[in-house]
Amino acid sequence: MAWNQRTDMSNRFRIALGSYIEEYNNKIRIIERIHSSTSSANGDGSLQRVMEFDHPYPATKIMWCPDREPVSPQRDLLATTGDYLRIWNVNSGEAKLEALLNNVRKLGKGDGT
Amino acid sequence: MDAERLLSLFKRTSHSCSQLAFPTIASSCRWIQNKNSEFCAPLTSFDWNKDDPSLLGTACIDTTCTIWDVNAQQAKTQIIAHDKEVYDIGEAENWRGILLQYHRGRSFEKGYWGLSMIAARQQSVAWRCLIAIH
Repeated sequence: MAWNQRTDMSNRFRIALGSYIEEYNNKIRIIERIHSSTSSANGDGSLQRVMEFDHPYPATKIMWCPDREPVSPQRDLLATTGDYLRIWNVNSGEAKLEALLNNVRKLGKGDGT
Repeated sequence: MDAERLLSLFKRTSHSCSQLAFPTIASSCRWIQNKNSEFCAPLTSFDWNKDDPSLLGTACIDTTCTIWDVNAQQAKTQIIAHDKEVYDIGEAENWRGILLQYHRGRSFEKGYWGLSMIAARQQSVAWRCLIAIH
């Protein structure tokens, strides 16, 4: 689970959640608080699922990019680990995989110590 | 994240999902031994640099920690953190310092924490200090 880090969004109540099922059918879900027209100024609103995408191996950790304001409005990054390190761009209502990074062990035993 | 359950899934799926070629725990020893292994071990955790979001560090079951350049989409530095699986990683001072959880324990009593100071921005990694709390 990860809380939104951005401060420039009008709706800052945003959470990314990862499921943990011991099978290959896990998902990442993004939840936002949606303000309804009847909600009062004290921040009432319902929580809604705004996005869901597949992450077959369970995500061991999820983080939003720690940029308070994104470099470009087209980049709204989320990272997950599991079988790979994945960088997702969740801009414009869909999750696009920006990078799939494979942790290949390059060092032998005893190197780097 | 419960490390025992992560390992358990890892072990079971190696049999049920052969197309994904997840090795078993027993063969995880081979990754530690074999630097040219084509298998990749699961990543247990990561931390994203607050001051420079282009840097991100991952911790891996194969005993390594890797610092990635997110913009270039490539590994910047890799260190062997320990001779055991690494379960968590925390960044300090632009990856000049990292806190690692090494052992499979779930508590401080059973676990094993280490503070490793590395020069992640350089090509060669130098250990500054290594503090282990048993």
